[in-house]
Amino acid sequence: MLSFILHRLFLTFFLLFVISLISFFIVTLTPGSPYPWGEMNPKISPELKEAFRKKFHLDRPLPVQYYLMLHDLFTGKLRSMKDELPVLRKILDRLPASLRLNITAMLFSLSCGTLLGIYGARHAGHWHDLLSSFLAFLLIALPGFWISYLVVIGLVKHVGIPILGTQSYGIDFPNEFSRWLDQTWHLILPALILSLGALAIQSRYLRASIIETLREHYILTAHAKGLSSSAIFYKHALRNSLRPLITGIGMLLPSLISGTVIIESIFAYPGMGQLGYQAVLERDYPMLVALNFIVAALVLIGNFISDLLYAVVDPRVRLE
Amino acid sequence: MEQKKADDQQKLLQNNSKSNFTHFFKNPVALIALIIVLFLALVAVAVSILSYYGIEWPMNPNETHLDARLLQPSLEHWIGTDHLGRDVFSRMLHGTVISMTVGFTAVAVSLSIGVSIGAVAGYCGGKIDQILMRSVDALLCFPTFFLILTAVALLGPSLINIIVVIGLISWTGTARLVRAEFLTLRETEYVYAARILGQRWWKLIIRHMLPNAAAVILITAILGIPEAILAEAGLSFLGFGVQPPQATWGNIIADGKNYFLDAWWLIFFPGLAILMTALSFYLLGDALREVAE
Amino acid sequence: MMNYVRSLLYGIPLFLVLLFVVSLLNTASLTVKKENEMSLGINAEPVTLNPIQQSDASSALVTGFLFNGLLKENENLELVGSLASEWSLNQITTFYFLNSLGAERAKVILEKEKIAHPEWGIDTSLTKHATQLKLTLHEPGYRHSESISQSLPKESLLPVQTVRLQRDPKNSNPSIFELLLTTISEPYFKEHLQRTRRSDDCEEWVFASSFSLQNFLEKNASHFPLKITHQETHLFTAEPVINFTLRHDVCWHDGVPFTSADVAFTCHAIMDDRVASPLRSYFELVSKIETPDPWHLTVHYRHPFSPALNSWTIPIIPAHLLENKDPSLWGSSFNRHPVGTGPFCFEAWKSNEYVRLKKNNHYFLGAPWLESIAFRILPDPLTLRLAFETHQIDFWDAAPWAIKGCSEDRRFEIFATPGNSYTYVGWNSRRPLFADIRVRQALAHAVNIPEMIQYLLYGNGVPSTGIFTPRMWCYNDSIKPFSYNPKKAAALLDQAGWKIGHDGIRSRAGKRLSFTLLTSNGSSIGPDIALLLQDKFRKNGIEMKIETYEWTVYLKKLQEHDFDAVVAAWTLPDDCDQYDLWNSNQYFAGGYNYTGYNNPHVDQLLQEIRNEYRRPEVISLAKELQQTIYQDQPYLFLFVPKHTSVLWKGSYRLCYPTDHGFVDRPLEPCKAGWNYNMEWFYRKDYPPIK
Repeated sequence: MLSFILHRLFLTFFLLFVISLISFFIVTLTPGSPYPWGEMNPKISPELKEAFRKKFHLDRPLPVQYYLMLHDLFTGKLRSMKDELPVLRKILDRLPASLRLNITAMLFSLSCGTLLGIYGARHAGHWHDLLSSFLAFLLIALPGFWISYLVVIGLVKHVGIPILGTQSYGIDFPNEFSRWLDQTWHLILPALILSLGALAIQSRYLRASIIETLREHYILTAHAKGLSSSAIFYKHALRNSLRPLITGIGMLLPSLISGTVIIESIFAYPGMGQLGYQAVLERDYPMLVALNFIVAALVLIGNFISDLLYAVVDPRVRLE
Repeated sequence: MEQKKADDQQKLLQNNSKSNFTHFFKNPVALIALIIVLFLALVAVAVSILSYYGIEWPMNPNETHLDARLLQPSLEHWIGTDHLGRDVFSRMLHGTVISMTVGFTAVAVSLSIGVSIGAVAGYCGGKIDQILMRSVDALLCFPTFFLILTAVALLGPSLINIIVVIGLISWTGTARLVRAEFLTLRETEYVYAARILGQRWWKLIIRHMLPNAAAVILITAILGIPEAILAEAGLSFLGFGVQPPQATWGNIIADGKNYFLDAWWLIFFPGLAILMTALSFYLLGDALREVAE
Repeated sequence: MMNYVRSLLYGIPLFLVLLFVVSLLNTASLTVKKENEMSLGINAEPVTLNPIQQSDASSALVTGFLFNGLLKENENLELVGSLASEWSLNQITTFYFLNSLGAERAKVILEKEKIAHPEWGIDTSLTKHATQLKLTLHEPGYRHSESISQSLPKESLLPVQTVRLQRDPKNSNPSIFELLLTTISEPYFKEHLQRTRRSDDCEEWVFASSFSLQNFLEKNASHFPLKITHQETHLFTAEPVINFTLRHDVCWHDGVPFTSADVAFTCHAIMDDRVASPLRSYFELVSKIETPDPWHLTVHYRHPFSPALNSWTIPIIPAHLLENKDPSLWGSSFNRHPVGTGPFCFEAWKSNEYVRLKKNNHYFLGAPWLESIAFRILPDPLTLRLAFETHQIDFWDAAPWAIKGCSEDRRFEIFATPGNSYTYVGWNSRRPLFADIRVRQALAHAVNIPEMIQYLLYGNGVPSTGIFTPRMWCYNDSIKPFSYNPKKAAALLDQAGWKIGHDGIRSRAGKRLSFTLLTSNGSSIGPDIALLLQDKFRKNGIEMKIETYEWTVYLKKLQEHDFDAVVAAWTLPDDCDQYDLWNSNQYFAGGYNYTGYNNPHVDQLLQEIRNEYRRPEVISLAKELQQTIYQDQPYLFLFVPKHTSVLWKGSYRLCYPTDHGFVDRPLEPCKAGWNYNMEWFYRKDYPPIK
């Protein structure tokens, strides 16, 4: 087990390096220039642009640029080309809000997805199953931006409940709990919408997996032994059906940046999606490289955990 | 003997599916989904043939009529008009072509890559599995959205590029699931037996393991089509879609989102179209999966 | 185990649902506290709150409340004092002579002329070399100096050259400039030489023309890889000077008094490479800043440069906080916690949520009425509108399409003020198709601009008639816009040899009249314009394809001149210096004359405008410039959109101090926009206590 973990750790670090390299080259290959002066401003002289290139080492050869960027990243000196703030600080500014949003979304999709999946599997063939399938597919098929607009307009315009940002603005909270609840309210709807797709996918995978497991011989054996069907279900079947769920956890993490762009923008939620999107649009190289690196690290950690869980849940998967 | 058993199992599967096809046609939901999907495909084909011969029905989707902007749905304009006075219904018909094309071709691309890599990794295990799966991990580590944006920026926005980019980026999920399925299948007795009997590895994969993983592959494929459609819509929504004036459901919404409060039909109907199409594909896929089991 | 799993399975979703309901009820029960605060919506997070480093609209809006310039524009866009109480312009002209005898003679002549020409206001002095004669004139510009030079003895005058040298980018030897200086031993050279560093790679030299730098460089090309990028010959050098007297009663937000050292520091900071200020081009011609005492300031320029005075509207930043700090570290300190002299002080900045300012009780014009201003960051346009309609923000810079709906709504009032930008289609004149003026004019006749304004801007705009916008003082209002006349367009195209082909598209010598229009998805209106043009052009037998790119790619294509035609817009400052946009020497990769416009007459006019300080003369030159460029149609000038804002009816009033006491009036549009004097707005529910 220990050697397996060490092996994976080594691989993880190696991968991180490869990813940073690839992301650096992809980013710099993309057409467009990274000047902070987005507008066509006739007062910005070419000499100034040259000075800017010098400042961010853009005049050096690519490998040197890469080295300098990584060096700066690890010493915490890497600065955004847009406002010259340290990128780590900019990311850390957004990370808590982003994590909150994504963890809540994950909580929704895992718990509700599991519930829906189990519900479908236990009533397989029954109209309850059909209904849960239909619901699941309806949720996957919902375009996120579409439903977000409908929800925001419905709530803000027609009901008049504030939902934009991380908490209601211009309000004296009677106590901290009330503030916390208010922040939760601002979090819970975007998280719910964010989770819909993953929720439904989870439920489908789990349902298929449970039904498959229920046909295994050892389940038949358990039945023959006279165990109650719910005991069989929770003790044996469920445990062995969790593989897709675990794969799912590993795959959910990359959405930390990418999945949230539109929803963050519509709900005016200050997360990392907007940060990444702006950085792509503005070709803020240091920001992009750092973001890629951090997301990659998070994902690799997620994968690592899911691989471990895999081994724990399903002894048939050998640790080679 | 084990070989025989495996073959028996396969026959059993085939027998099952034959009897289940009647079951499929008894499922009203699946039937409706199938009809919708067929209808959409038919619309897509008809629209592209008609427009090839220069026939635009009911109206030219790209002709602007500035005096007829943001008209409500009426008999003349079934889904109203957009901010440049273009008939939204005609635009949605043309959007169907794009959505169908993107859905099917992008999935074909992603499936062929994903299944082959997943199968090889899951079957071979060991070093090969490690290498393949680590590269899949590496790909999964990139924020998908950022990858798509960068790739579109690199290649330039066009229909083919968008299909290729969506296809190239969405195969990782398939690969991992197929690999996970194969890892378990590999440990089953009949595969073990077949290997002992000296079956060639590719034969084994294609004849014995793939059919058993068919359920997983089918689910991912069917899930993939609407996913690609949704991805295209999202890209168009952000302005990274196909070039104007080509209409897609996504860019009808993108063009219309600013007018939402004044012209709800610009967002509501294309969104509904995306929703219904995706839903139909999902339901159809689900029904087919049941047949396969 | 089983029960545990089960309770978890049902417990978590139940908990989430419960949380959803409880938090919803909680938020619904909260009541908004009415504070004396103005809230504004901005669609992007400010990049920096350092006014000399910013170039985005959000930052500019925020820093407008935090900082002041020496001068500012009043309601009618005329310059008035802000931190400066008085200012004056004059000029130091230096004549160079072959010998001291000539200089002496000239001095005598000028002493006589003084009486004959009192308007010159000459004040003469000889320099230490005795071959140079320095005059101080009342009015900057070449005009007086030129007429003076005519009265001086020609034979004793020594012409001077201004040369701008640039280092060859391939050679990065830093000692080259020094080397040049030590090697040249021409007798006049050292004595007459003035050398000014523009940047690391560029220097400007003024020296006697008897020495030929050109020859020298050619001879020693291998040693001195320098190239001459700009060269001029004069009989004199003219150095305009601006004198400022500063207010005595201004303090920074931290209580430190504001002095001339701050102004000098701001100027030096703008020129610092490490700061990379977009304001730099305004100050490149500054040769010297003198601060004789804390409240007086003299700025010397190398050439007459009439936009110079306008440049002093730039915000001044505090020297005492920034002087001894590395500019690359400003990003995390000053730029996030600015200290200014303005009516509001910085209070808080929550990333991607809001920026809050609170009132400055010690503002030199008196404390403003509002307690605080909040800038809420709402990236999605629809969300921004919703926030406005639910009172979360007080003003909304409405997009054209929303104006119609709002104008029918009695709860709102709408202000439309003339904008300072124009939208156009630029033709790449280096493409053979667009080199023909008849084609460009035909295209202008083929487009129905009033219709475009009616339908794209919902009437909130006027046709553009060239490079200036109607709100500018140099605008030429006598130019008639090209009429919508498809027949004339067809005739012009026929004349140019483009005849309708069998596929309905015009062609000439086997080439179809087809080109690609570049637009960006970064602008909401660009693609719409492109579609309308496509429709109109097709009816005239012109095929136009559209390519939409994201903003950075679009910019890159422009800068590399990789396009046929492009939809774009210029946002203009309120001075009429357009040298960078239209001079033929600004056509290079990254230059702003990216369509390659080249007209020697225009080049000359542009230079004259820079050299001319007298308003009436500048106006007549500018009008001629606008007329000439409009007739040439290097762009298809489309329209000048109005700046439209919506606010809740009667929520705010304005009460601002003047020399004769306070003026209290409802908000109304003026030339500088309805939100001029925004710092003096007050909420109706919090009337001002004077």
